[in-house]
Amino acid sequence: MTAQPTRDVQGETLTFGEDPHPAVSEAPVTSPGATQLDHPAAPADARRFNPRRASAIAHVALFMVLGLILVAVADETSLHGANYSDSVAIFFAGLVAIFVPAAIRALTRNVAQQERLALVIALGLAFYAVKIMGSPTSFTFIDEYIHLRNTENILTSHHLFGLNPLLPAAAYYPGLGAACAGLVNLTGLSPFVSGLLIIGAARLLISACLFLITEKVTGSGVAAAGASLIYAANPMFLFWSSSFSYENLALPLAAFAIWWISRTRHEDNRLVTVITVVVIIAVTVTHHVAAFALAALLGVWWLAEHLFRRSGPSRREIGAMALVAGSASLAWFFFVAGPAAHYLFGENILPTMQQVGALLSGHAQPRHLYGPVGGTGDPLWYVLAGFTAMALIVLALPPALYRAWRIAVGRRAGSAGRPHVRNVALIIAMAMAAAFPVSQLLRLTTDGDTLAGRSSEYLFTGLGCVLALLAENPIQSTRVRTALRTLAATGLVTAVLIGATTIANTYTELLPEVWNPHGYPWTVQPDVIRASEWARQHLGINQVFAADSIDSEALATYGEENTISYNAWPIYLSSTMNDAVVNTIKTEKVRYLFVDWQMTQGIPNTPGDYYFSPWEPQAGEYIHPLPAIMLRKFATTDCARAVYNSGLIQIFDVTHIENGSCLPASATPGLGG
Amino acid sequence: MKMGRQAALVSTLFVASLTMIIPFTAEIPRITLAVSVLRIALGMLTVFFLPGFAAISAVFPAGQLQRTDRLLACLGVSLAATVCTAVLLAALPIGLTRDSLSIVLGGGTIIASACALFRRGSGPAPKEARN
Repeated sequence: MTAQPTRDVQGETLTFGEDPHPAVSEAPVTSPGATQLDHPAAPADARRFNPRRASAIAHVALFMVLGLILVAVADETSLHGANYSDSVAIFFAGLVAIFVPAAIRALTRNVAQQERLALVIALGLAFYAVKIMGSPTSFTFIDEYIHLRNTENILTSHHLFGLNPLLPAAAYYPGLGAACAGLVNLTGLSPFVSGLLIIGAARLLISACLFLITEKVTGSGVAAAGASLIYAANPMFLFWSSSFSYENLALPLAAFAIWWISRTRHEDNRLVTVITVVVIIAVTVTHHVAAFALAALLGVWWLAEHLFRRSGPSRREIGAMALVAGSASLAWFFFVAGPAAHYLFGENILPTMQQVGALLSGHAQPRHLYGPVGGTGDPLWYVLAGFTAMALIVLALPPALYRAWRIAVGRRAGSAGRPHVRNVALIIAMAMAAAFPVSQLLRLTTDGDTLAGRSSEYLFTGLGCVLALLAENPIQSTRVRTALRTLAATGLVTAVLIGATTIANTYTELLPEVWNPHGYPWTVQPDVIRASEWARQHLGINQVFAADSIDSEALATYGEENTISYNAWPIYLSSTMNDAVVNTIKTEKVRYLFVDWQMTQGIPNTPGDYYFSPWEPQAGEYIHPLPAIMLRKFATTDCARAVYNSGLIQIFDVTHIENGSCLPASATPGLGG
Repeated sequence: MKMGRQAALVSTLFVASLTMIIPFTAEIPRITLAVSVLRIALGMLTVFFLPGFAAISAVFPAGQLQRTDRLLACLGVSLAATVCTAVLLAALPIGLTRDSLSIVLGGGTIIASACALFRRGSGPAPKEARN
């Protein structure tokens, strides 16, 4: 198949999906004012895989394996309590070994399209392997426990919307849980392995789709590879986007929907539309923000074509799909997923907006982006790497936007030189790229940090396109030493990758935690898992447990119990069995207390520096661990009965307090009716 | 090449039919390693590839998609179909079980494969696109 370049020959506006075949341009720019849109057709052999280039691929693969071995060594040494800073150094050496050779090869001129695509996919999967190697036997991220509980609910009840104590809103977006439960049913594999397979497939999907979409948007294989590499360097890609979380299935499906629509928009076939609708519905039932983002992008795409482009059936098709996506996502959000509205707006967006308002009006101080530097805090290089990455992006953005503008907007011949938009998709990418620095200002607020991080998963698609176009021109040029420029571009993207990794991950939580650490852990520990499994076997599932934030993740999944963490702090944070303790047990209908004595050995580091809830009195300000007397009180009352006692973990039965048949001596008689 | 695609579709029909016997493997008193491996392979094919392959073959009987695009579409459509089917079954009184999912997903794949074979036989001469 001969490549057909994206051209603006007679004033026609081009957009992705315009050409039924991917537009690739590998040839050099011939004049200073020329853009990649002016590239002549690439030779056919540049697009096809050449066996003679197999050795280059083998070298890249070898480096990737070496990088993964280094990461494995770093994980193991960290897990066994070796010098942590040495382990981190080995870890970053591994990341560089995985990323740099693949990036150099992908950004080199005259590489076949399929080879670039293979490299981008391999890189995505290698980064996914990095995440798995950090926790190869079980999930560790909070969101993974949330969706593991969703999956278990569906496996147990065979139906949707079972109570999810870790995040009630998540139960109303059951796409990931249902698909995982389906794979468990069909294969007999565990939910953990099934979840890894589904997210792995989704990772493959998004890596390939992003490359193919950006190739259509930029009209250049080098720029597409660059955009994919920059996307892989976004702060969330390495760990967060690899986790077993609903967004990490929905976003790849949304990317697939965009690619599919752009690829098939000229097909006169009703079945194509049926498939598109199925994909849109899959996104809708899997994740709220991804569904809204898909609807918005389709809407903007339709609007941009309406404003800048001729009419036609393909534009109407995009408009119809935007309508389907918008109405489906809104209908699901308001009529099915009721609690999601409160979660999204009440707990995330509105508090962030309030904090931004307070920050802008001078009523609040900006949040410290990193912990204390030096000593027991983040090392100086770690902080500098993050700021360097941000500085590189912000500095490169204006010239990148200018270049993208020159490519996207031309002047129509014979119409008094008026500007004429000839690449609608690139205009959309530019808008997303321009929004990125603004989104990062949210990091200066306490609640906005999460939103800023999550938004990068979306905005880096546009940012990648625009920044890659800046790098593409010198790499394609034959008049300069292109190898040197390829190396320079690789170096800059690698700096962004390292910096972004430091931005998204606390230094002390980059590598696996030692088992049973001295102090308060930041991940679920094996003894907590054993206690949770004991609770499921001996106390039954769906019992109401109070527990600290981290242990409630294990209790809700391994134990399948209904845990209360956010509202449980009055039970634990007092020295006696007073009215507040009894009242909370009664109002929350708590039957069992999960007591982890590690709370008395160290202060919490994450999430948010609290044991139970961000609303507990000393959240974010702990200097000393929890006093032992606060936990010892449960053993001093006749109303609580220890039913499990192993090492640092205790479980107390407080049913008699909950049902009012027993009142601790230090509580006021007649309390709570 | 026509025979290649046709053979692939017939294989899809066969494998999808095998998927529908997955529920009966639970009745085997002693599950051997071979049965477990077969079940895993069938299950993964059913979730990640076959529904998409059958659907894409039905939509594009003349092979209008390049190989890379077709493979990508198979994965994406299969994942989307699995999500929609699983959610739909779990929302219905029948529930999401091994039996219901294997019958609906396997059955849907068989119907789409048959449709693809029919359209391929009745349509214009296939044009295989390579990449």
